Amino acid sequence: MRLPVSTKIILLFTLISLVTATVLTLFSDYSSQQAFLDWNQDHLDSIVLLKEQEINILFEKQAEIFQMIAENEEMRIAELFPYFGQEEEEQFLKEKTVVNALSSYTQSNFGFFELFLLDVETGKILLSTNESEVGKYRADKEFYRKGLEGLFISQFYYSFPLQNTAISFSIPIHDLQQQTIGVLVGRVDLQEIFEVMNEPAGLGQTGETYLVNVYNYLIASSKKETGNTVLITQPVYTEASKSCLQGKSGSGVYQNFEGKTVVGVYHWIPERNVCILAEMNEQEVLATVLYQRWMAFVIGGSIALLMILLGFYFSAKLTKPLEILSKGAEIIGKGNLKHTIAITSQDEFGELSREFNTMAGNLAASRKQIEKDLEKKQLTEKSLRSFQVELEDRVEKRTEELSKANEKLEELDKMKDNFLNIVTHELRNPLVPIKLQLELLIDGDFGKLSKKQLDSLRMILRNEERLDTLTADMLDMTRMKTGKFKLFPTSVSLTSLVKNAVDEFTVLAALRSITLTADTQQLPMISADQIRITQVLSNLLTNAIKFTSEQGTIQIKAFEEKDNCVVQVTDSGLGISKENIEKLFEAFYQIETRVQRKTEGTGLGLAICKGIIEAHGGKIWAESEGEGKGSTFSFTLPKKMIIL
Amino acid sequence: MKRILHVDNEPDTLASVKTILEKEGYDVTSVSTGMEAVKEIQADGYDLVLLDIMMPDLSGWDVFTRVMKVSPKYKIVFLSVLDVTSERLAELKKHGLTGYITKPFDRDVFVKKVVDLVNLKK
Repeated sequence: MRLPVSTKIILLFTLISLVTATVLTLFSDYSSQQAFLDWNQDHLDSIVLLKEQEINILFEKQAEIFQMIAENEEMRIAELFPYFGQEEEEQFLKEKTVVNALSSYTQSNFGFFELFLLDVETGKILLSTNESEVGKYRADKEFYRKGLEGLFISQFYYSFPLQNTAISFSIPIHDLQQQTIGVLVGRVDLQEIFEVMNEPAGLGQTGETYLVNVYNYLIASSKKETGNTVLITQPVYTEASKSCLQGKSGSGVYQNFEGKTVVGVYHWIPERNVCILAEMNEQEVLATVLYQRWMAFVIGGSIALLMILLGFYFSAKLTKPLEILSKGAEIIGKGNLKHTIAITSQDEFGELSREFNTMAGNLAASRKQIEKDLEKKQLTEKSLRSFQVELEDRVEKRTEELSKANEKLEELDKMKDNFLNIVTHELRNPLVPIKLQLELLIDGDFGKLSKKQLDSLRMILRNEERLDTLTADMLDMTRMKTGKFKLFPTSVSLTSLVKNAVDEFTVLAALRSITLTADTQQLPMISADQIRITQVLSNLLTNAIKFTSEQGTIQIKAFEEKDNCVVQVTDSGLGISKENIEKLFEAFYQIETRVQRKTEGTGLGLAICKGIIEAHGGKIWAESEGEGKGSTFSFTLPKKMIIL
Repeated sequence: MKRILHVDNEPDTLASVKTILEKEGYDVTSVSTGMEAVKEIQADGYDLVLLDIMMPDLSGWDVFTRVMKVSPKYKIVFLSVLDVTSERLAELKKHGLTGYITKPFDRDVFVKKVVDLVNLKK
């Protein structure tokens, strides 16, 4: 459940207190109700027993008083009876004495309101404290019959003259010979019994004790309204009275003679043939229970309320440190690591807060370290970045410089090419009249010349021709460089081209006693620029002758190899060092040798050869085992030329 | 006497060629600009015109194309320091060019070529 701890604690306390209070209340209610009912019954029981006992005591006391009256010598009752043959006057006086004695008893507080004497022989009242009763026949009465046998106590009965409940005591009167001569009867006023019954102690407001006689009449009640009278008009037919009049004792909840539901206890008093009942209005009993229940509820509720209040208090007390911790954690979470939590209690919260503060301290320290490291790192990065920027700047600057330089170089190169182009043309043009004039002179058109003059002119002509070759080569080079170099291929027999070249150079080689041999296969016709390939062959052979000493050999081979035709010119000449081999085909490169001066060349020949062969899609290269060991120049031409 | 017109902006070349060809018995007229050449060709009939290509005012090409438009029968030969290939030459011949001689040239070779071309019928 997503509830704050405080709420949970409060809820828990509430739950515990409510459950406890409810259980306690219910239990106490039930047990108290039971106890109360039991107590109530016991209480009623004891009241009944007490009253029964009191009634019995009253009766015994009354019986003792009655016997005492009967045996009182002062009364000399036996002397009253006529069969002793006494004089009438004497009889009268005796009677007067006895009546006076009896009257003194009735007028005293002995409980009897009437005392009279019955004659055994006549069954009539001989004398009485109530004069009007004298002479009345009473031999039919129970108190007479029973009274002849000994002390007799009658049932409760209703006395019409008294208009109240009464009890009669009767006892036999004996003469000196112990012959029963009469019966003394005493009628008892039930004032004391009524007082006993009227005693309301322990009966509460609705409590009532009363007696019911065997005729189902209510005799005495503790209630004022029923008073000290027997209510003939009030017959009592209740479950309790019925049960009781059968001689049983018991208790229960039932409707009383007034139709009210009561809690009652009944007890049969066999000596008096009467039933004593004690009843309490059920509502009053239950009111007590209800009151107790209400009290239990109030107490339980108070306890629960107290518990809930305690819950609030404890939850506040328990959760406050939690709140402080939580707030602290939040503050620290937001980055304020200097925040400390001020819980100084010596319990777990205190410990937790101390741990928490330690943790925050550690965090702060580690963060400081991290920040330090970060700063360091940032510094490093910054310096690295600035270094990088500097580097980039430098590189950019360099690149710019380079590209500028490159542009300048390209410009210069272009200028050079243009320059070369122009220079070449401009150089060639003056060569034309020089050559023509020299030839006119040498041919003798302007007159016969001496041998020395002719030699001189021929020397000039030879150098003019060198210049001519040089300008032609320079033109080729500039064309190659500017991309204006073009091939004009036709179907060519490489075999015949090689043979023609060999034929052309045989004489020149022979002049230097060099053996020029050719070893040529019959090669297929290929597509190539005839003039340019011839130029290459001439160049290679010229070089070979140039660098081969007398008596040397030059061999030229032509053969097929895979998709190519290969031509090789091998000489037994000076040979080439390794470092020079790589530079051979560069423009204006000339090998510096001792015989350099003897040789003549523009330094462009091999570069032009390379350009021509590569334009055909072939390759040209030189091999030599070293200086003095001769060299081999080879080139290939593809059988199927691809014009680049 | 056959008449040859030589056009070249180099006076020395003009003089040298004139000397050599006159020795061979030709009537040589030398002019040094393209414009002069065009005027000369229109004004007079020549058996052969030797025409330099690279000239300051009007190039040999321009002269050639103008002449060919007016009188395609004219025999014109280019004299140039520029090489020409056989294909290029064949193409030029289709447009009416008679010959092509690369400068510089040997006297003998030059004279032989000129003799052949003068006698060539177009």
